[in-house]
Amino acid sequence: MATVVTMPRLGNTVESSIIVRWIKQKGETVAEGEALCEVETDKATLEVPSPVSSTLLEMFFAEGDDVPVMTTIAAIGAPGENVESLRPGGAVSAVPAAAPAEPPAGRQPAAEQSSAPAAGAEVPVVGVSPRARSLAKQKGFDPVGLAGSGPGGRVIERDVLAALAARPRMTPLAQAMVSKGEFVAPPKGSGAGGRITSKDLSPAAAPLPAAMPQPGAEDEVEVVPVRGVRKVIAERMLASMQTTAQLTLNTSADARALLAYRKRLKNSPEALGLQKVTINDLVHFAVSRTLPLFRDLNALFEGDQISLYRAVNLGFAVDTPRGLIVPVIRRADRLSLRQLAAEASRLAAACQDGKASPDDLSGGTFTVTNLGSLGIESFTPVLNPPQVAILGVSSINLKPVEVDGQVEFVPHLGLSLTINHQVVDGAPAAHFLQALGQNLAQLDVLLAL
Amino acid sequence: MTKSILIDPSDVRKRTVLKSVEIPINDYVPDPALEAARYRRENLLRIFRDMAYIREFETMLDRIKKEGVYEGIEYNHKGPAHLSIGQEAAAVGMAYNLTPEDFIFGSHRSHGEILAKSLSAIHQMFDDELTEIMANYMDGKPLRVVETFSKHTNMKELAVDYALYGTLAEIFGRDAGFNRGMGGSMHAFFPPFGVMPNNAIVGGAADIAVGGALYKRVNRKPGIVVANIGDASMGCGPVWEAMMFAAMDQYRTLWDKEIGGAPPIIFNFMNNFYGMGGQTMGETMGFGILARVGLGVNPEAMHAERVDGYNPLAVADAIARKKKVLEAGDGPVLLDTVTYRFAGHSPSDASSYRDKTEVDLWRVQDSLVSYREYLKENGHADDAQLDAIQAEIKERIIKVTQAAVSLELSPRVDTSVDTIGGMMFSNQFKDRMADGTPEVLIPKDESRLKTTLAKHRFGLKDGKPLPRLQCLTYAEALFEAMIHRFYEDPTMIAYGEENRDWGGAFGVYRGLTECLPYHRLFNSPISEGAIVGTAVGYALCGGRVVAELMYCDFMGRAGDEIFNQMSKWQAMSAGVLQMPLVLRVSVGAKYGAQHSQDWTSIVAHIPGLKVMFPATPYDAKGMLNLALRGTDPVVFFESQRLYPEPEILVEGGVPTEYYEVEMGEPALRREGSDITIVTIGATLYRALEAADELQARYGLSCEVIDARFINPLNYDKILASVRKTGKVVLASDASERGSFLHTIASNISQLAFDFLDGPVAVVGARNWITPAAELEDAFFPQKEWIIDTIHERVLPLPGHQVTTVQTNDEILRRYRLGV
Repeated sequence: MATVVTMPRLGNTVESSIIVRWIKQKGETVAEGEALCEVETDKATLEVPSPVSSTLLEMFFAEGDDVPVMTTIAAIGAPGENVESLRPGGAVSAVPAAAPAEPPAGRQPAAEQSSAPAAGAEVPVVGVSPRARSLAKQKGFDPVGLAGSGPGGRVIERDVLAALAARPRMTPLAQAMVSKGEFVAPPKGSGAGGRITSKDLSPAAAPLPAAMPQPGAEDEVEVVPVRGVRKVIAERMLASMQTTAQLTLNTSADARALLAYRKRLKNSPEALGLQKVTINDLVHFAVSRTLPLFRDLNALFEGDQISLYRAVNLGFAVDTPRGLIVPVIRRADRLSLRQLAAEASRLAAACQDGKASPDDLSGGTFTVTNLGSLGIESFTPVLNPPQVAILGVSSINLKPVEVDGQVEFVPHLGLSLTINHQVVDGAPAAHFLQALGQNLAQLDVLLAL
Repeated sequence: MTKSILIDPSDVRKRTVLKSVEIPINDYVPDPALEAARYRRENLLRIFRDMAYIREFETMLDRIKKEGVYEGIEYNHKGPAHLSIGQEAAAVGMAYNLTPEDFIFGSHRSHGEILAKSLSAIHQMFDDELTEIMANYMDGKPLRVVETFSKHTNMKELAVDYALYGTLAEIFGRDAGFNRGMGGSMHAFFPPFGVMPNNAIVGGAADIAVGGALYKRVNRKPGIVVANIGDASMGCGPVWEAMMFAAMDQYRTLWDKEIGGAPPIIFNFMNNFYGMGGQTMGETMGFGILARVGLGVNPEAMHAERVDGYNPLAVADAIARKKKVLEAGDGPVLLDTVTYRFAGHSPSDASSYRDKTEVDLWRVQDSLVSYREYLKENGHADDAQLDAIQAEIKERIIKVTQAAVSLELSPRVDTSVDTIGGMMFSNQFKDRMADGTPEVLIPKDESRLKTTLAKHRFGLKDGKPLPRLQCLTYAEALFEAMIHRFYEDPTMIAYGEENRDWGGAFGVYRGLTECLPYHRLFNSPISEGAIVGTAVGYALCGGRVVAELMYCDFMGRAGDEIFNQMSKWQAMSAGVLQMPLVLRVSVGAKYGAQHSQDWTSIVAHIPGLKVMFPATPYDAKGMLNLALRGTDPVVFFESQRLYPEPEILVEGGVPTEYYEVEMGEPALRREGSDITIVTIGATLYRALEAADELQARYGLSCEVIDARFINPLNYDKILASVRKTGKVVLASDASERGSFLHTIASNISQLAFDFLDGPVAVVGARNWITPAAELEDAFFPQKEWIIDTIHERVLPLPGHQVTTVQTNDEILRRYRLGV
């Protein structure tokens, strides 16, 4: 089976790159990591390395072609292999042979299969029942690839339920890492009672020959080069952990006012534009109003100096298909709730579309990261240096509270604050967290500020 | 009692010769002096006027249809126009001696009859009657339009404009038409003037008209009924069935004398010698002279006559004489009214099947010309007077046409809202269709009810079956519903094959013979078309009726009556008519290919029918109660397999008192959480067996729902169940291809898609003939079919060994072969 070479994404906003020069020619042997061609974006020129050691069987684009990122540009494999099925479909190419007059050869067999009279014979498409699909989605789980127990191998509800039950217990951090698809978990972890911790995880992209000794196992692994946003995240996260002294404090805040106010907003007249204000927006608002009183935490630590900020430039974590991105709401402390929500919404959309500008992504003084919508009850946020604090927001859970000698269950919002203990002491951090909790509990009062 | 009529072999085997009565042919002898005295000048002129109205009306339509313009009024009429130019004398002569309470039913070519009967009724009615009719009919809607243009000096002139406009607006499909445009040219009618539904199915009016006559007899209503049908309809089975039904001996031999004898019906064959292009005399029929057919029906030869339909006075005379026959209870009557249409069958007719010479011969004898000459010759009028009459007619028709083509004055019904949907059913519930005391022979509490009420109302005690003979059965539950309504509604009658004495082939009516006089419960001829068709006529005249088809398979014999008549007249009348007709249909088994089919799916396809199929005694009584109090046509399916069964599913059993099941609401027969099984009819019990086995062997909890209604059907309960279980199998005894279950399945797929954990599977009977009783297990869905279907298509069952083939490949194979 031939290996494909795709046009790498050379930056967050790069949508296509031009092939400047083929360094290797068709039929040449190439070694893993050896440059195949030079490509150019508006910012830089770099080389595309060969992912494997073998023979360059086919180039699908000519020099000078502008190729969308992630498009297959070449195939590498054993001489004589037919690689026509790998030829991309709709690319604009200067190479006449690649003109899209003929349908891609790879489509043909599939079309024949679907129109074959004996459609009752096993169709190689593994189906997932609508019900199994919605359950999996609800649980943040990918049902594709599960062994289906329905007729013809269809994945049905009970398969998803079984997979969910069999999923190893993980620490919240490990779960969050796995849910983003970048890491895979071993069957058993090193934590208490076999819990899988973040240390047990291995990068999803890394080949794991020991774990998958079966023939044909390479088909089951997708190799993703660490580039672009992922590369940035990898470097920064490691740097964060290696260069700072992180300490996390956990608490929870009475969420009744928060929920009640959210409900009122949801039912407010559409014209006010407040219906889409989220719990996260309300947390941002409370943070932006609490933080100015705790300037030690609204600060940047850059080796030999600490800058304390009066203005709150609030970063918030956004999960995108390309990885974690942290856009910044400028002067959050001066924005009304509605403005704050609108700006957060704009930035999140820009990040999702890969259209956030460098200005959108820089200058933060404090960061909020929220895993509450995924049911996370507590986690350890990782600092975004040179910032000195990051607030993690978890899910809302019922907590028993004694009221007049009776136990009442009151919804509470989980809060985790990681500080750089190099420059922030535990007590002021705890004071901030306490004040934030109180402000959230009386959000209606805070709104007067 | 039929037992009292002895069939004596020495009598029926005796050698003798059948002597038949003579059939008069054109027996009327014109006598101007006598006619002048009999009719008086004004009425003779009125006959001319009415003929001229029809001629001008039809000429107007002919122009509109062929040239798109009449007297400068442009209009494109898309619908049909089967014109009767040339047949005016037959229509006016027919209507002349009919009173307003006499009914006419007609054909696709009945504009002339509508106008003739309306003009006759208007002439006879008092002004205040006319005012009331026009003010109240459709809340005065047609009248309000007529008042904008009508130039009238008295109420009768206004009423004439009203009749012309209501008919024409109906032909043009307008909201202010007599039937809000739902009937159109071929179906227009107006009951207040005795103009009853006209039928576009050839001969379709015959059995319906007999039902109307039956209604008059049973409910002691005055008047007779005329079925105006064409000569070619003599080739239609239902017309013969209608004549057989109308000529039954029992009206005179068995029914109370006080009822008045046979239904007062004239089969008036408007004989224009052509059925479209086929010549009934000499080509497509063999009777030669149509009146001859009367000889084949009863000893009186139906009092048949050929009448000269080109002389209005000959027809009027015949109707007057025949009316006397009918009033004496000696019907039915057959008239062969000779006439001729100058117009083609329809505007597309190039008259390739007849010679111009023939048309010219008839034109020479055109009744409008010859009757005009007759009036002049005998000093009743001169040209100036007659011209003035025709000029006034033209003026009125121009005004009527202007109003009817105008979309401002005469808009169509609003289809942006569900106006027509609102007409499909009357959705009313009436304890009785008319006031009065129901005629019965014994008090209700002395009837068979004594026995049924004393039985166990639930068939199980401590989970064990009670002795069957001591338990109320499905058939007896139906009986309780029937007797209840018979003692409530004086108009209610029931009939079908073997309904009296025998109590129906399956004994549902056993005990009713003792309770009811003949005219409320009687045996019909084996004429399924007429059984349903007469019931349609009885119901649309205002009576409640239960018709019975012994086997579902016999519905084919009543196809037109069920599909085109019973189902459609409420909507085609725009709500003027109601159809309190319950058609009991028994789904058989064990009797092979023509006695064992479940045809629920066939009626499910026909708009305008309510369709029910109870599967337990509780529902048998509660659903028949519901059907019998309603005003809508119901096809009520019953299962012969279930007739002897007691109630074992509904806790508390069958109530002794009156109750109704909620319309359209399926019944949850068993709660479960893993898979839903929906059934229709007796398959319910096979599904419950399957559910038991699935629970016992695979720990699968099945929810079982009995749809019990086919139309209307509330899907809420079914969808809620599927949302819960994610899996659903549907089963019934109907052949799988085209089964109504596929409609339910498709709706579930659309409405609960994201909740489905597998395809919606349908288990039906095989697409075969029903084989012999011993082979039926291979034909009707069995418990194993349901379980194997679940295993193969929905949820593989661990360790399950299939015993039948229910795979996707098998579906493909069957469909590829068409079996």
